[in-house]
Amino acid sequence: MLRAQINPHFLFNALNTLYAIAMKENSEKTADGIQKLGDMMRFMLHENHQNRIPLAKEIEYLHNLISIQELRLDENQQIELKINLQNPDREVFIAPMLLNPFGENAFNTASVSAMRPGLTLRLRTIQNTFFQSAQQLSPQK
Amino acid sequence: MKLVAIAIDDEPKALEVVQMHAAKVPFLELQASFIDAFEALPFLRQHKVDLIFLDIKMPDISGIEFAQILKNGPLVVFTTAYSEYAVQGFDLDAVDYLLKPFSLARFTKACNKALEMKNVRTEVPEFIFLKTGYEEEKVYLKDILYIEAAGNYMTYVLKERKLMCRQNVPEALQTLPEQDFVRVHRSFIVGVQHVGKIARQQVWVNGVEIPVGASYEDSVGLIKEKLNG
Repeated sequence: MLRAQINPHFLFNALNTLYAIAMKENSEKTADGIQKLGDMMRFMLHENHQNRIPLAKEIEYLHNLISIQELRLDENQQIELKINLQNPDREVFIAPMLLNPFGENAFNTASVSAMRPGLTLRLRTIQNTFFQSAQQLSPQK
Repeated sequence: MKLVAIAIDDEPKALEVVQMHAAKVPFLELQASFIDAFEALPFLRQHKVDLIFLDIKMPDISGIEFAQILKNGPLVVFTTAYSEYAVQGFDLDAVDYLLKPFSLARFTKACNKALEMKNVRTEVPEFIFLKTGYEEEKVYLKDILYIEAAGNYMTYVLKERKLMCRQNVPEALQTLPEQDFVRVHRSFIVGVQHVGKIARQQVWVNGVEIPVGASYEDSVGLIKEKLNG
């Protein structure tokens, strides 16, 4: 019950305030992260409740997720990221959050893995409404 | 071409975001910001503003209501924290709506859209008809060098001829697109594109010296600005 009562208006205004402060302090990365988090939250509040959304929207969400996850990675670890998410060349609709687990899982494993791990995330659309997502986690030689 | 804008939002921090973004868009000139929408009204009366960045949820008046007051006014880009208003925004012919917090890239995109719309709005006719006695003559605007008031008449000095037209200066100004013509004196209007030399108290159009009136000194700067595009 309480969860449903969070006022989105308050939430986004608060994020915007933090965004302003980060920009004023010239904290570019922080500002960028806050902005993307805002987009993600809006996605969760709106698109998430629809039956089908454009694949492009989901990809946009994945990009935001990746940017924020990237900030969470240990800079000293020098994890090499190879992201290749192909935008569909035509309108494709999917269930929202269908691809999200691929993105989240990839990072979950990346952050616990051994020395100098790398992460490859590929997404291609094949044929009409078919797509394939591949993730790999391989310690580099 | 420049885009003159103001921003209205009841949250100072939200205005700061617009200000910081605006500073990075070369063709955008954010002239003022207002926490209270009503304080923007006198400013809008006194200044020519192309675009308003307008918050929707404000305590005294909503951005939607405010935009409705400004019929035929500036272009509007709504800035809002929550997208339930989005559809309504488009009903009002909004240029765009920005969802907070918005990135510089997204902000720039909205500005580009607004600039495009401004260009469409200000597309000017190529010619006007001037009443000379009982006839009306077609005159291409680009051929008008300058216009001089003489009694009850205005003398239109064109490239190859002169035309007398029974009207006064304000009437003449009304038919001329303001980006191409500037009043430099009580009795003179010049075609900006034909100005070849500029001094503080004179301009030269096609070699003809035209005085700049004491109360029209600003017009010299305005001409330079327009010539520089």
